[in-house]
Amino acid sequence: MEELWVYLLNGGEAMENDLQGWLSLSRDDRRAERALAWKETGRKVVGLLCSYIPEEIVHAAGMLPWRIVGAHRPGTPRADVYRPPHTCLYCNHVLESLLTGEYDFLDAVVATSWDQDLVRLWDVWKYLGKTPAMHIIHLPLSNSATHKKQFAKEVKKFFTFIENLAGRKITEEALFDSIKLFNRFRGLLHRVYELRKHENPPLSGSEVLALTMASLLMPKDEFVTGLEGLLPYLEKRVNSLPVHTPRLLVSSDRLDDPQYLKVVEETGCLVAMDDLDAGSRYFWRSTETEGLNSLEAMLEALAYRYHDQPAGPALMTWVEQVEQVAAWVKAFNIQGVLELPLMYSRSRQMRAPYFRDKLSALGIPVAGFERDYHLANVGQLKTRIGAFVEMLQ
Amino acid sequence: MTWLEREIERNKKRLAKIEANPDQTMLRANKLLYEMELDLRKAQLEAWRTHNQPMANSEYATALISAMGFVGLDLMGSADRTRLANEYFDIIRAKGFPDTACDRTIVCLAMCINEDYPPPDIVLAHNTACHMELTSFKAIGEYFNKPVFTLNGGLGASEDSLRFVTDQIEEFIQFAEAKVPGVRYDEERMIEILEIESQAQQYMREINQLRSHVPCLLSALDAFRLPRFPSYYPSPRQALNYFEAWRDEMMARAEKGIGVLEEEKLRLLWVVTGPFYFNPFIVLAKRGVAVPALQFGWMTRVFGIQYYNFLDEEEYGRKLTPLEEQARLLNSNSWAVLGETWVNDTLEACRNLKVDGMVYYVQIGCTASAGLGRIVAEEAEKQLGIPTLLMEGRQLDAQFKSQAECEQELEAFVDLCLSRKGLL
Repeated sequence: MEELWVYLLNGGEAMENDLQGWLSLSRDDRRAERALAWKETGRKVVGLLCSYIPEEIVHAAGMLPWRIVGAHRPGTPRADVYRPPHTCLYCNHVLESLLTGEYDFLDAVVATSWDQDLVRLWDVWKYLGKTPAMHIIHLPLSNSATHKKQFAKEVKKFFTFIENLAGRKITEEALFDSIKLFNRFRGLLHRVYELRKHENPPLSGSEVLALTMASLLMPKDEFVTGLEGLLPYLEKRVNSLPVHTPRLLVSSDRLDDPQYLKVVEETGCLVAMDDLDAGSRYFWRSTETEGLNSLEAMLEALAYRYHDQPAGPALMTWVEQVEQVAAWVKAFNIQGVLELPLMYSRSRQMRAPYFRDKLSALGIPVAGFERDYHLANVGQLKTRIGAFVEMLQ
Repeated sequence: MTWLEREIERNKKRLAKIEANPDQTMLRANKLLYEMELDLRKAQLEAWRTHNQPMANSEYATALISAMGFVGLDLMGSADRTRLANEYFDIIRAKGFPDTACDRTIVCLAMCINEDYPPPDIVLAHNTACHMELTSFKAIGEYFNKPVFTLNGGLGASEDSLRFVTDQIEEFIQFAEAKVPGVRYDEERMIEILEIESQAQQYMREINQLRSHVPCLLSALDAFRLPRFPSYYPSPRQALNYFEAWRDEMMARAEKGIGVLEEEKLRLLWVVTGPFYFNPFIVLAKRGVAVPALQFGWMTRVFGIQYYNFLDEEEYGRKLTPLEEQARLLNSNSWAVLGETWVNDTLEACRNLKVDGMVYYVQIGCTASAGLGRIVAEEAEKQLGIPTLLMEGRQLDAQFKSQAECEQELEAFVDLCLSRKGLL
């Protein structure tokens, strides 16, 4: 009955169908759909294990950048052979998917040294030899000029890797077009996020995450065209959540299952903003396009854009990370910050006391509850999050 | 009494015991080692109490830290020496830090919080051994509101990553000189230290050559001890004497044919780390198993098995500057780089020491090595035909696995190795 009401209010069956089609794209059974369709046209797919990999370069070479997500099912028996269960659960679930053949269609896989767990996943992947081409980008972990300069060198190496994979040179024109497209894409997601500032936003938090996840799994050109068509509809849409307060910001890494945010919202709140590598952090900054008159300049601009994105806790910019979250709290009228560390994600766990203390000192209520990678312990999570939500009310 | 004070007392007792009733299977040179350890703890305590010298964490950048006039704080090494750390794990949990992180990286933080050990005046947060150490250094710096400088190694040794690390060292010097009164980088002192380190390394190379001697000349406990370069200690020259004495003692044992076991049936390489809350080598010794070495992140470089070190000109085809020398070490730990290096180095150590098998300690929370154990085991079987025990455990948390459970695993593995050698 409630769904019907939403449908009538929004008044657009086709638009709603399109939207729902996208929002279900990150489900286990649909995740590879667009990548496989891409492959059928004879083009290559590059799997990306991190948000610090400049997708524009892959796009400019005529290939599909595709974010690697692990299977959201309990147990990782095949992966446990290579990785002890007390290591990063995202990596364990991704390895499980690799070993079950879910990534057999990939032409290449690229990682960064975001943290050492990810490097070790890349090591095992390379050892198993299940993907034709592999590359890893060294990611320096502070915002010093030396670290940025080093990352720029790494982006150049990545560019060469992609050119070799494509078997052709990437032209200045193609790269510049890709940079412009990705900036346009980011601008559109900013417009979606602006809608989240509304008292009654058109999309729930879980729907927004499903939307950003779709953008990571489908061709950007298609996403941009589609979202441009959907935005006028979204501006009028009404979400189906029964309550819209309190407004929470959820902070985590590798949280790529929108069902988790649905569980949060089922406790009686709205996730009105996020601090996620699959959400805001993924698209927040654009690439500077002024003076990009050579490939060299474009690669440098990309390097700075990617290195300067709002950081997760694996980077040592803890002060800036708190400042960014505090700024989002203010801009999105947030009442509380909910941190959902992925179990065994040491970087976030080690930063957790600092993060919570600093936000608390700013008068921002904050709570943190560890979670699995796949949706698990729902009852326990709901009880704990519910208590936090009740306190905010 | 703080941990530092207790450690001073412990070292005094060790020295007295060596004087009165030395264990014949252990190195006599250990007396020099404990004297150095005693001096180190006294210097740390004095700096903490009197503020007569600034303090910085010293892990692996000891030559630089020493040449800058700091008293070095071996945060990780000190945590190792707590042996059993239940009270520190309670502190970790109470403060909201993860108790499943690698023991040494988290216990050192609890030691500082508990005022058992001084927090550094400045923190060099680096990942030159592993990512966990980086986050631990960072957490210590932020917890105590101290200046933190982030230094990253590369993903493999190269001219480019050497330059990258050297640039950061130069920046750290500027940062530290600006932030900590009285700190100044002394290049002459650095050169002097590097010459001492180079001599120490020559001894370690010779020690390593003696490790492959049959019968094994070292007790497993002596073999297991992480060697620390002379610059860890207040008097680096004195430390040089220790390495010389260690080498000489092994040479003398070799000449006389003195092994540490009555009958050596097997030799195993111990890999990564081990439980510090009991001695796992007793059960091995009883079965005639020698453990000539511990393979850790810098083992093949420090002992000259695979790489060069201080003052060598071959690796980079030129003479390195003093700061590049420090960068070379920081940029070459096989735990911190891509896994292939750690796998190959471990196999090389096996070849070099002619072992019959490996005990690979899968340390809970070790981001560097835990995810590579299976590959090491598969490659050891494939390339060398030797078995590996992947033994999951913790360094300091006895609640994870009991001594009896560990010993049971070791016994079963020894049976397997003896059987493969036709000795069972």
